Amino acid sequence: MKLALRYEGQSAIVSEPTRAQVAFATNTLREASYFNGELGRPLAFREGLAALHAVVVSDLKYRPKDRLAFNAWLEAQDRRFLQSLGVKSQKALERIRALEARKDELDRARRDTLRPFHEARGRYFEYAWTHQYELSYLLDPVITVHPDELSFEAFSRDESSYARLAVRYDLFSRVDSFECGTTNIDYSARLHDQLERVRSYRQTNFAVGPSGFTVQVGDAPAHKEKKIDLPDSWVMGFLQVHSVLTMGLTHVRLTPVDLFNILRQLRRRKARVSPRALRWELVPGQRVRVVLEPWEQVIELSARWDGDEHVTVRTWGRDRLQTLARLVPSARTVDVYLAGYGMPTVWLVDLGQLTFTLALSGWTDNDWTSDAGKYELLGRKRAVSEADLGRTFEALRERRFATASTLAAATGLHADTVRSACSYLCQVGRAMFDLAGGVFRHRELFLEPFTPKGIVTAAEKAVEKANPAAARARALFDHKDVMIIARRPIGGAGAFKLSGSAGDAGGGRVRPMIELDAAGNVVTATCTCRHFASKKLAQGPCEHMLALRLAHLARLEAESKKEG
Amino acid sequence: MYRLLGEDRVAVLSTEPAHASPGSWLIRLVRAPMGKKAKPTSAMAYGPYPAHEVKARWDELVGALEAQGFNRSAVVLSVAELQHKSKKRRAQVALRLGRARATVALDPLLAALQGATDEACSLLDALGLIGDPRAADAIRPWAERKLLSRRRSAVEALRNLGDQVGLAAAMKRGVAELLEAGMTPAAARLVTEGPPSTEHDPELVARADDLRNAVLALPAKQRGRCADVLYELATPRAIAAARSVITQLHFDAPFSWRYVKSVLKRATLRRDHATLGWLIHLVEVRATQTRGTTSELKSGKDGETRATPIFRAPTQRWVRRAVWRHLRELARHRPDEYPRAAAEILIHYEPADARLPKKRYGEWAHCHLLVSILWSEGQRLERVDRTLRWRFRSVHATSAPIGPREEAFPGLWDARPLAYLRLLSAARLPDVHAFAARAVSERHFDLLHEASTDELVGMIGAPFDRTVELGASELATRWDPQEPYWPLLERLLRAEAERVRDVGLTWLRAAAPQWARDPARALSYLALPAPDARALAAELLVQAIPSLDPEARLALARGILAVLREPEPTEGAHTAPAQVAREALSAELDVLLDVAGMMVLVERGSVSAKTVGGLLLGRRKNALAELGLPRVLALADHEVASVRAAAHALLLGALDALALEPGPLFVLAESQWDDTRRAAFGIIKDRLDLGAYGEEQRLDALLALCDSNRADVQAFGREMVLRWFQAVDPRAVMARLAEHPARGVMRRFALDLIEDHLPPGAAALGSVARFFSVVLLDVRPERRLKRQTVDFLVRRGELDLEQAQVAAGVLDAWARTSVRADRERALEALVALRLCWPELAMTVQVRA
Repeated sequence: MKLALRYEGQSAIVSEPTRAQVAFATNTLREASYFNGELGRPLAFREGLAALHAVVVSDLKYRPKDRLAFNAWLEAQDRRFLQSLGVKSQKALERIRALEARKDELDRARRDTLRPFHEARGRYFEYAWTHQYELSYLLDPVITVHPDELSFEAFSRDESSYARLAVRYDLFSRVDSFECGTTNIDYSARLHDQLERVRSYRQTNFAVGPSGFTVQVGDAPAHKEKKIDLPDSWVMGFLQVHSVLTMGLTHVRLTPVDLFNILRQLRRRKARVSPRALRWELVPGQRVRVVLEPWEQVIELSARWDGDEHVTVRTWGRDRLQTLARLVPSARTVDVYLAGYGMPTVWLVDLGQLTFTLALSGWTDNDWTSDAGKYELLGRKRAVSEADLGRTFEALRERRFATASTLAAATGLHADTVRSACSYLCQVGRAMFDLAGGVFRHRELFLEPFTPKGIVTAAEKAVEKANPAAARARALFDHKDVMIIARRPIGGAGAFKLSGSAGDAGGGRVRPMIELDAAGNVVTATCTCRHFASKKLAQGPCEHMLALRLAHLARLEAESKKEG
Repeated sequence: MYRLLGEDRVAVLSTEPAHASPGSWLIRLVRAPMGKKAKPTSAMAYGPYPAHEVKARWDELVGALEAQGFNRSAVVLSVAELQHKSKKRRAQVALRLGRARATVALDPLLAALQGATDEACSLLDALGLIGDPRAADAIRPWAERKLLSRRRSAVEALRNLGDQVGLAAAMKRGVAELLEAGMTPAAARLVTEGPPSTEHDPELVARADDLRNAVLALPAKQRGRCADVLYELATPRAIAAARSVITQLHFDAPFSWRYVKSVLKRATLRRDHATLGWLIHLVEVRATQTRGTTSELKSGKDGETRATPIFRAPTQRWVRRAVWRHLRELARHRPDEYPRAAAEILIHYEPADARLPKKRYGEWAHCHLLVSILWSEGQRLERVDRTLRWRFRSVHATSAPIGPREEAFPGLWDARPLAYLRLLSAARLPDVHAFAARAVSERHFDLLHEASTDELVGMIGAPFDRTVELGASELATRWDPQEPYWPLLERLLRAEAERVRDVGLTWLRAAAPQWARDPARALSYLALPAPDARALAAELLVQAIPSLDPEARLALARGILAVLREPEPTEGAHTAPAQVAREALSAELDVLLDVAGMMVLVERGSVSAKTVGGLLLGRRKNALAELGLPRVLALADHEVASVRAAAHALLLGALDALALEPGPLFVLAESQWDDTRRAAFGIIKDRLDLGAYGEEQRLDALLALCDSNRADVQAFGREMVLRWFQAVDPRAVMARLAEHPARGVMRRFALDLIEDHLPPGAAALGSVARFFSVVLLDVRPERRLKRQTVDFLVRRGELDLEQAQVAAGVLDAWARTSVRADRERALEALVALRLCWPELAMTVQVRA
């Protein structure tokens, strides 16, 4: 997907001795949303944006070392050695050694002479690379002006980390004007450097708008255009993240020093061998323990686990947490949401008037949309008509943000239906889920106007196309090859624990067990199939679990019809 | 001698020494009927005659035979065979007559042309080769035929006859055909319009490129046809364009190969040796890249559709054989043209054409024409007819023999030795150079005197040392540094080959005193295409300018200024003139330019022009007054160093204005350019009295430097803070420095200041409490900083309870760190505070 961005001005920060002006230029090809105000706590804002920058530029995917130069040197040494074998005369050998020493000396002298040139060339390459990288690859963050907050969303370069900085309006000492909407902002490494100059002793005006700073430098055009080959995975990643956020997640609250301890220990030691997981051990009534593998180093956190069961969750790609390092001194609390073994984790850092959300995929090489990330399958979606979808969308757009129950009251639909409709809207980029506030927010990721027609079908087809497990589950259910063995309600109304039997591709039968929350989302699940044995839920639920849930939903519908 | 009638139709005359009487000669006459196996009917011997008498007797005998109806050549037989029942035979005979340019056969050929069918092409070719204009009327109608082969032979015959009427009509038809193929009228007009061009004319190249592009814009199936039509039109532009188009064609496509073949045929008929040599080499190269294809093609002759091989191996071999046959015919019938034609073929071979030798097949075994021309008469090689490849007769005799010559037709080469010059100047293959250089060194010693400058330049760039030596020695004889032959020097300096240019550079250096006196010539050398030549010219000119008279210097300065005012034609073209301007002519330029003129160079000139403008601007005393401080400040951030340097110099004259409003100086201190930052530092440090400003303004200025993201600016800021520390509010300085996000030196500096100068009291300590948290909760901490921070907090906490509360607030959180040493240090500190102040509130419990 080719993403065209056009900025009339450029984002910049102008610092004077007593005042500063932060201006973010927005994409003029998008709707004209804007914001003007004065920052009350510039330092917190600076630290939040610094963390966002750390996410935007982070790329921790494994890349093999380039050993071309080393191998060439090695070959040269080999050749030299082999050639020396053929020389028998001691005199000749000495002569060769002397010449080689002289050659090395000349090489050194040449390197010294050329050093300024090489340094200048290196600086030029860096400039050219940075410039071209920003024009062609750097994915500008998405900014959304809400009625109560500004949010900046971005993905890391390796597409494995999602970050959202929500800035509530009470961070601003004065809000002059705003217009809600979603757009991109012109972003660059230079801007990050300028952000570092934000200070609390300067009165800092903050503006988001199409003009930015229209300072023309030399012959360069005042406007800037970017044409980025936006990976489909990037777009899909935005949608997947919200599937995870709406899942039933295991919640642990940390103090800032807990986060500091984790980061400090990760920084102090470098794991040379596997496993390199962060193991969360949640024992009822005891302090939560984080174990750093492979050293089995235990960090005991401040929080106690108040759940009923002993839970152990392993997550990978822990180096990505270093993006939170600058937030530690400013943080008040840190909430961690765990989805399960090898599943995404969400870190919510409360900075007072700012909230920083960092969602990490199961591991670094696993981006949010590779076939490993089938998270939407874990959520339950009810059948939603196009009319219901349209009504939900309109209600959300009118309010800009709302809980599912508020939307249900506004639309007259069942809360589950609204939740499913919102889930579809998230999936097509028309809404997002704010985990900190527990609300759905209207956020148009795309420029095209919304039409509910075909969205449900398209979304389901996309899910089934992207996730063959969903299609196979549907086939199992349609062929009545799945049955519920036991079903018992747990906890609040609507939550169930189920065990069942389903046909396996090998011809035998397997035993899936799932636990669903009141909304029908899968909370925990196990199965005796081979897929679960090797991958657990890291690549999404298996078809047997999904088929069991389909059977359960069908029975629920039959029961509700019977009752009345 | 032959005759048409009679029993004996062949008479063979020969001479031989008379053994009975030494010094005398016999003349023998043998008569026989026609046929290879026919037995002689009579044999007579006349003489013996003394040597001086033989010629007269010989002529007598010939006259007697002619009286009996015998003729010296076989023309009479051939003319008779034009009536042969076989079309193929008639065609062969016609071509033989044509090659022999037998004018006596004109009428029979014209007669045979009437009603000719398959043999018509050969008849037309023969008429063209004979070149008698009387045939034009009969040929013209054939030039209008639809069938390509007929039309081609007729048009080429008309060209050989010099028939302008017929050619003009053919030109019209050709242009119409181009239009029919889809070419635009404007492009088609390029063929005919405009002044006639020579081969090296830039206009020819440009127009040929336009024509080529116009053809390449057509569908692929039309391109070959258009190339053939362009070649038929035969203007220099059209020929150049046709050659250019052919290089883009796929020879294994039927719609291309047919026309490539046609151009090849035309080149042989037209005796366009240059095109023939180029094209046959291209065919040989393409033959190594493709094995050809087979296509279903409809014959233009009978309308049948057949599977036709296109550019397959037999076709490739046929083409090579045909060209070699053509060369042999030339050697026989037009011997003066053979060396030239052979040379035009040889010059296109290059080392890249070689293949790996295998067994008896050498690296050139597959290059039939190269081997045939150069080595076929030697004993080393033999031809394998099936594959048309040449192999060594023995693996033990592969190197060239020292004595005997191996080239075909050696006598013809020596008769027309200018062909050797063509080889020496244009060949790319060392073997070809070796052949030609040997000829010049051994037999044609004076040949190089006839070489043109271009040929000698080509020789110096040759890939063969002996050729280079020959060329260089001949060039040296033509060069006198006291009276230089300027066109030759110019030619050498503009040469693309580095080796040739090196000779030119040597001569340029030697003739510097002469050309430096001539501003026009000096300017032309500063604008040479090669950067090394321009650089040397600039260097020599800079050395020579001090000895020039003032008028010459002024003229030179004017010329350079005119050059610098123009847009730079290619990147780096202004470098040399700008160097001369900067290093030797700045005084003259200073006279010629006012400030506005300098600014034109700075703002609109090339990078080199900007350097000149900047240099001059920096020397102009009144520039600041004319430009104003804002413009000078803007120039201080200019991309060109000399412009910035000028601005720096000018800024020193504006110290009063900067003292009144120092803000811009602090902006310059943040410049992206090191030199500008250093200049700003110098002014702020040594020329600006910060004590003259209010305390708040001073503080803002100092902290603006420290707030920078650049290490050197931060260092300067720290230096200035220490220098003016007594003159600012220390609490404000520390509170502001504490917000700096940079690790390392800046953080250590802030902590040292806090430790030494933080005012007493909890309020002051509280204002920097966040800084302590940042230091202690840094995931990449410095041990010294941590220790210093904790010690400082304990010291301040021990002073009073309020400060202890602030210190405990910071240390309390840190005490839960998982790093044992840190935890213990924090706990020790908290215990120390609790022991001082038992009522101190903290989460850590201290038990007695």
